[in-house]
Amino acid sequence: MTDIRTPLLVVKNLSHRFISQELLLDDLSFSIASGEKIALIGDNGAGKSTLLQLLVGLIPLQDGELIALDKKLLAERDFVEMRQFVGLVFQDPDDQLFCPSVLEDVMFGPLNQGLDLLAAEQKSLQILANLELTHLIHRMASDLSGGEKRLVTLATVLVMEPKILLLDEPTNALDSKAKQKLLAVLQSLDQAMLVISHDLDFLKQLTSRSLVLSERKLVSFI
Amino acid sequence: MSQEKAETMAISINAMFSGNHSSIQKIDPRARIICSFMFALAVVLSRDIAALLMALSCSLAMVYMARLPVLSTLKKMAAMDSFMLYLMVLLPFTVPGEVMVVVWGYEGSWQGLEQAIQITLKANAVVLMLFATVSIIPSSVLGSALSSLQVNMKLIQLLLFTMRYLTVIAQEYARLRRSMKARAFVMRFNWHSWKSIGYLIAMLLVRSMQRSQRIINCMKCRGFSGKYISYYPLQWQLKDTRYCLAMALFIMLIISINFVGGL
Repeated sequence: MTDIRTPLLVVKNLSHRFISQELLLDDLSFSIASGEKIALIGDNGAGKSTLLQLLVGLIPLQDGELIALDKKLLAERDFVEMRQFVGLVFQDPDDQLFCPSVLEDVMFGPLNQGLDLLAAEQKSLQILANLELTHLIHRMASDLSGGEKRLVTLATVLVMEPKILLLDEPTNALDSKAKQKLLAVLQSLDQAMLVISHDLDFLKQLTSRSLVLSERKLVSFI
Repeated sequence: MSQEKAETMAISINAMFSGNHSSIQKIDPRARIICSFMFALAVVLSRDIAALLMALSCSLAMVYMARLPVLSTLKKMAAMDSFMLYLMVLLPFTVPGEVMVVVWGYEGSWQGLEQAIQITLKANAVVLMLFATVSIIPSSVLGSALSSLQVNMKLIQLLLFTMRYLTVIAQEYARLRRSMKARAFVMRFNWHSWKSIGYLIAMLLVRSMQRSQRIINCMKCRGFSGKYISYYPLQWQLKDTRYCLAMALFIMLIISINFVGGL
């Protein structure tokens, strides 16, 4: 079993520029340890979502180093491997739920991991049952409420058994009831998390430390 | 595939079909797609009114067997047939032939009317057949069926994404239209209106492109490598062969009537 202090993901001197060469992120360094829940706070346009996309290789790394499970990430194939254990939950659930039904959406990841149809289906049904979403399995994503969509997107990532969860504004457009349900689910998870949100109350209840992104730098650890 | 696996997958497929328990729904989707395609081809190439009436009767019988909701089916057909009404009025005056009627000096021909009737019968027969057999296939099963029929993977994915995101684009359109209305926009026949609608369409395109980029990122994050995975393996049964044979006989009958009529 991994020790609580083992860094799963290490970011060293990461910088990123727009095409116009304007600097967005300047020399960021931090690490995420196993089981650690971290908040990432910053103004609109500070580069929080860009940082998450850089961490999983969706945007090519320009400057700096990324080390995941003691392995330096250099090429796309390293990131493909890394995405098996780092789950990114995107800001807009409609982007993440693209299959005709909820069950198929949850099965998508395990099938890509090489599981056969039956195993993928069973694993997906288990995750959906854990999140009390079994009644939604044959519903279309477009028919779900905002809260249901958010929990289903979480299921699509959790089914791949990631070690780290990256959550981009998970409370966006959720009412207080849906937010409480999401909070309870996230609190019950053992995975390390890096959570972007403007909802400080939510972050306070979920995370143990914060990274503040301000004027292109990570200025403080609270 | 083992029997146990096949049974488990069959449970999933049955659940997908839960909205429609008709005898048509029990036929393998591949059989329905192929037969409907052949039927449409035969009908479109037919010119004999008797053959077309027979094809329409067959489509109506299939609609009955598929237990389609009457009201919504009629509404959809009415939308198409209102366009056919224009053809009925215009074609007699644009196709030369034996004079049927003269309106303000313009001669309407029997041949034009016949063509309009042919087109109306063809369109109704084909669309009703598609409603009865293909439209009731759940989109995920449709993907599996097309994949098993060796249809190009990219085309299948495009079709499935279109089905999934059409509502999202419609919602975005509605949001943009509401925001225009909230700023006192009223659609008029003037430059400002057309320019504004142009901006709206351009914005929809830009947002769709941005969304497609985000979707591919989401897919990459969940291990997508460009391969389409069929979720519902389908099993061909004796009843599917019987359905194909019955449809083949009927299609041959339609073609034969055309030849007989032609003689």
